Amino acid sequence: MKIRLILLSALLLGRSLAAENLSSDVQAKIDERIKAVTAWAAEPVVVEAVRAHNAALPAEQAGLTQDKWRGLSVLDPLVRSLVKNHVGQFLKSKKDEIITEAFVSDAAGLKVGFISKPSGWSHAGKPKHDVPMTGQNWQGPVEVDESSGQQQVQVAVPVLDAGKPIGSLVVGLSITRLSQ
Amino acid sequence: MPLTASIRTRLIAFTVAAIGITAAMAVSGTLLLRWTHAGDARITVAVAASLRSSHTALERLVSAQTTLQTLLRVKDPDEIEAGMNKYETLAKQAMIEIGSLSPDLQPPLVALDAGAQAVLKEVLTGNNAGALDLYVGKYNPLFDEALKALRLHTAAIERDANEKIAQSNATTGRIMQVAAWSLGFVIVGLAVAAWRFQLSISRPLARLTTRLAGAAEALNQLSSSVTRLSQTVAEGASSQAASLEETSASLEEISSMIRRNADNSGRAKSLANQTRSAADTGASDMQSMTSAMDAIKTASGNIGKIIKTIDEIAFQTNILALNAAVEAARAGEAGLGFAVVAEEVRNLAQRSAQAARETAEKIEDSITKSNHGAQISGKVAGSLAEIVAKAREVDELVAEIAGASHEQSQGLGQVLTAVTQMDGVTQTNAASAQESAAATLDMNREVEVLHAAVDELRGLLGIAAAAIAPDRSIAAEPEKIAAKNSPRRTRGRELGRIRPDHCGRGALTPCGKVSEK
Repeated sequence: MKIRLILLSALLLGRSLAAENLSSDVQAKIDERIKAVTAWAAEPVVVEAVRAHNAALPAEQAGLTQDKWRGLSVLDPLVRSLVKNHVGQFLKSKKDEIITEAFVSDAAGLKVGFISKPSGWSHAGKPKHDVPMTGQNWQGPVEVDESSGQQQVQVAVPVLDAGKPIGSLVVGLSITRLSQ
Repeated sequence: MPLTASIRTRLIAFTVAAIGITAAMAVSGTLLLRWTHAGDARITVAVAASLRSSHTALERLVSAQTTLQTLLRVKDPDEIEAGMNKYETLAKQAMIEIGSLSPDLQPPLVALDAGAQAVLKEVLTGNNAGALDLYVGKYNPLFDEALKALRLHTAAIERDANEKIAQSNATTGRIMQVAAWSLGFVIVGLAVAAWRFQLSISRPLARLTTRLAGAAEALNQLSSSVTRLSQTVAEGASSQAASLEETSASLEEISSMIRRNADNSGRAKSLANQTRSAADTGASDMQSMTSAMDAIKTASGNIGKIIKTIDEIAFQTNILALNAAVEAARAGEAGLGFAVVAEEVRNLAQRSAQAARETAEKIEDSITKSNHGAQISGKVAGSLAEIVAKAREVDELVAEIAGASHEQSQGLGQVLTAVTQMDGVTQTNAASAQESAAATLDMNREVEVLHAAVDELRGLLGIAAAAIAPDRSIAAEPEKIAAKNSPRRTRGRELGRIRPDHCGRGALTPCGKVSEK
């Protein structure tokens, strides 16, 4: 079993290193996806939800910490509510085989809606949230999803309200699928 | 027939016995095989059921593992919930099914389920990476343990099945050994029975074959003899036909001669009749001539008398003429003319007297000759009477000759009838000879068939074929006989054609004429 873990780690490391050199073709596809994600972030359902979340945090989310978030089951009503709300359903409607994950955060980095439960409750202080909040798009490094073993890259765009960033939309894209 | 019946009976009895024994063996073998197969089938079914349960349990386990593995990559809560429900269902079914297989399989399954639950817990918290670590580090070893336990269980089932099959095979082997020994005994028994049976059939058949071969050889020799006899008969018929032809020619000549004899005898008879009639007429004429001669003689006498009277008249006339001359001389001149007439009358009287004398002489001569003719006619009448008598004798002789010719014709007719019958017999003999030759040919063929049958019978009995061959030269004899008979039959037909000519224009017709007379 240890040997298998070592081999898997070596494989993941190798793929991570290989991901630094994205081909122009793949990068072009990522750019097109960023444009699409930017359009999603401009959707009223997203903008209004973020605006409302910024205005008033729902009561059930009050006091929710990172540790509590990690301890919640994906089947917890709180988590399910963020999947089944308008933003979650909108993101789910846009999901295809290339998109591995997608979540919308408010200005504080707290989750407004998502397709699947993110690892953290708040992404404040992380580039995938802080850069969009500056009004810029963000593209992270190529990573390996340990659960699926696929290479992916996260991109983030700001959710603008009258040209002003009020939140962020992070989408995970499968490099493996984009390369096919 | 008794041998055939016996063979048929024996064959039927042997066949029935063989079929019965074979059927009994087949039924016993079938039942035995069915029983052993039923035992094997029961074992196979039980093993298959156990293996199928193991495989089903293994399939459930693999499905649960696959579902759990899928859950590692799923992040959508709905999909996670559905996958977890599916896993719980599969795991529960696997627990039930595997638990029913053996109690020994429960501990590894419980441990495996605990490992799966740990993985699911991480999945539920969204820690897929941690779930993967638990899956690889904990669940998979437990899964291997469970598989190992299941394989051990399957191996135990297979081992148990193999032991049962081995026991069944051993039992089947012992039964088959007994059946093989029984079958061997039955085969040996049947072989012995078949050997004795074939001996009981082949020996009489061999004797019968020998007798048939002898009979065929004898028949062959008889056929040869018959062929030669047919040839002899045919040659005799041919010679007889030739003789009949010659006889017919001779009879034709004889018939012609008899016909000519009959014709001649007829003409001779007719001539004899005419001769006799002529003779009778001659005799009658001769009598008439004699009477005429007598009448001439009488007439001659009467003429003599007349002549005498004329002579007397001439004498008186002469005297008267002399007296007239004297008177005329007296009358002078006036009587001169008268004197001339008286002279002429005197000359006439003298010439009449001379003619009367000459006539008288001639009548005398005629009477003499008439007498001589009467004498000759009497002699001729006698000769004619004798001729008539002879002619009658000739007539009688010709009649006898005609009767003899008729009898000859009748006899010749009988001879021709006999020749006809002989010709018919000859033709019949020739036809019979030919038929006999043909029958001999058929007989030769039958002899060949008989030989072939004997050889086949010998072949069936395993005896060397006899070196008896039909006389091929004999087979060719009928054709020779037929060739010889053909011309003879033609001559016979010619003879038959000649025979009516004999009867039509030959001796029979004249004989008929004779008989009519």
